[in-house]
Amino acid sequence: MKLKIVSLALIAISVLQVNSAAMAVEPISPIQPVRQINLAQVELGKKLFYDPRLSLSGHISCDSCHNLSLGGVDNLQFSIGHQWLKGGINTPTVLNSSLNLAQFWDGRAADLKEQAKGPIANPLEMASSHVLAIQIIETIPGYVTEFKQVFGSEKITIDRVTGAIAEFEKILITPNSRFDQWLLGNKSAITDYELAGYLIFKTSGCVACHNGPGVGGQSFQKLGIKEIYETDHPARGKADITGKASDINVFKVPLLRNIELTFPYFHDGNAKTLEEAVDTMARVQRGLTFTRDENARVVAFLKTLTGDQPSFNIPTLPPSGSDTPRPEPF
Amino acid sequence: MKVALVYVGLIIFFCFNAILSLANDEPISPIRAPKLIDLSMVELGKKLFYDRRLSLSGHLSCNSCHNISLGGVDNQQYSVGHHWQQGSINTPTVLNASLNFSQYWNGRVATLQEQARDSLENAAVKTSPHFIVVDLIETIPGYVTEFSQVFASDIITIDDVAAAIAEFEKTLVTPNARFDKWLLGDESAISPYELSGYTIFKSVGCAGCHNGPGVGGQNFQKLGLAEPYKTNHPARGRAEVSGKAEDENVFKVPLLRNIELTYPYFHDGAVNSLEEAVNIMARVQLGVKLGVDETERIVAFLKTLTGKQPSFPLPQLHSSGVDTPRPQPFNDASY
Repeated sequence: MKLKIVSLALIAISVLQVNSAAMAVEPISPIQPVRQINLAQVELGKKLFYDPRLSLSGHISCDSCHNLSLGGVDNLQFSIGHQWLKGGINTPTVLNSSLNLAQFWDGRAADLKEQAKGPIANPLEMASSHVLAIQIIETIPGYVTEFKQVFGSEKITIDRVTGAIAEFEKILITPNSRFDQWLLGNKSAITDYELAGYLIFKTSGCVACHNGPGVGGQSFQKLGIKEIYETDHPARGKADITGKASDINVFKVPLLRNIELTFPYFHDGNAKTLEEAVDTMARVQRGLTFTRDENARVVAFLKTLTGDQPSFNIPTLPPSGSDTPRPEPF
Repeated sequence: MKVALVYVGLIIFFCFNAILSLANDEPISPIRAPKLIDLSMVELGKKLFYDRRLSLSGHLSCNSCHNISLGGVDNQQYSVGHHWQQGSINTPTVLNASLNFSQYWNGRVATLQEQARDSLENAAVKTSPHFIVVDLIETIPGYVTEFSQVFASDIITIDDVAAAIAEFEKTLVTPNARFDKWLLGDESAISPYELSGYTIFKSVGCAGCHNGPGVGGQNFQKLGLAEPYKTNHPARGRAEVSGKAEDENVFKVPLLRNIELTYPYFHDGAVNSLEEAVNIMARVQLGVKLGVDETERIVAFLKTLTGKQPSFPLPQLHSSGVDTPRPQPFNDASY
């Protein structure tokens, strides 16, 4: 009897090892649960994320472009900003954005807190300023109380505002996709057809860049390694920041999590379908032409990366105070 | 012992009666939870309410102007519409809209369903005559399945779309305001100061129009009964619907529920503060000039009308299909 238990234990251990070994060799890893989160900041950040008063017009919030009901994007080629101005680049999803090594297509912000400062003051987006945004928040009694409670002092600064937004954004991960279930050992979570797509995805080299928990977001790469990526979009990627010729068309590798939801694709939003995007990437990055069947299998695999979408109750925002500057959109 | 029990029973009975009759005597009644609601329609309507693809630009949803996180309004004088066009009249709140006897400022439709259908059709006409909401919904596979489940029919109609949105809107009531608790017998739910504001509200005649569960929304009234309401706004109220001279400046009496959240006030959105709104109403409707103290007490009372705001999980929308037309917000030919 004792012997039996010991052998059972041994079998269990070896199964576990095989499993973890299998996981270890896969270039993609499951999305991990959020740990060490400041829930008070999350609740405050959620309100700020949804608050259009952070924009000059009172019409645009973070959620306007990063719609959490639509995969964290607006599904537009270019977003609609202040006074209906056209956004400069396709909006990346906010879902799993904490898994990126840096933020924005050119990686110009190191983290989410830094990123959140951008759109508030971007004249094409929310068109406010950090000074005005703070002035508005400071005159909303409900926020004054909540900032004091969350941060322990009355001072409302742009760092605290974007810190809270960033903390909220950290919970916007999408675990439990069918592919993650497969990675965690449930072999029936994906079909043989989808698995075949994953194998093509690996053997053709897509995983060299699209790996890790985000299936991307780990590195910068030149767009158009094998052949030129044709576009009339003016973005030059990292070169816009560094000014270096070697950084021209070098972009952050985007996440492929929930990719079926975040159309249209690429920084110029030019590819409307996943099939087109896969075909273009194989060609310009890998010098490969996928057959229709290979393409369909890779797309089927990519759709297994759609995870549990964020679920929380809609926030109720605190009303403005009597001296809160009123928006003047017109 | 038995006798004592009977006495206690009688006392409870009388107290209950007293409370009931107290509640019955008041011109305002508590908001009741919605009844006979079709939850499958609510869930579908919630998605449609939040779905920006119902607009030509892919940018505007019902929630853009009727922001449920902000008291069911956008707190703008006039809403931002397609291509940043200015809305024509201040957006009324969607919260408790089911308590209105008709919809829109001029009451031109009777039901929420008609309101939703008109707004969708207006949006289509204003944006592009070729943009048909139903055609778009039919290309989104998740909606096709859900409509077929909810309405047990393979044909999606604009009436079904509007009915689902209206059913969702019926759930957007805000019960449990401190004033409602007071009406239901909790004497400590409002302060003596707030209660005195309510007494003034009644004695000067505000409750003549602002009554019922919505504290308004029960009838039409001429704006400017005692003296003209000054505005540059071109709206003529009911006269736009009836064409009758006596309907000039006759508007639906707005709800006062959650009024502290739904600034700015009046159909022209010209007034930012509740104090100013109360003063103007007393003057132009009742010919009463309120003292500062009276105004403040009424405002304190009005703030007790803020109820429990809607709370539900953020809806997740069905993803577009391959044939779903992609929005073209910057294509000027479309507008």
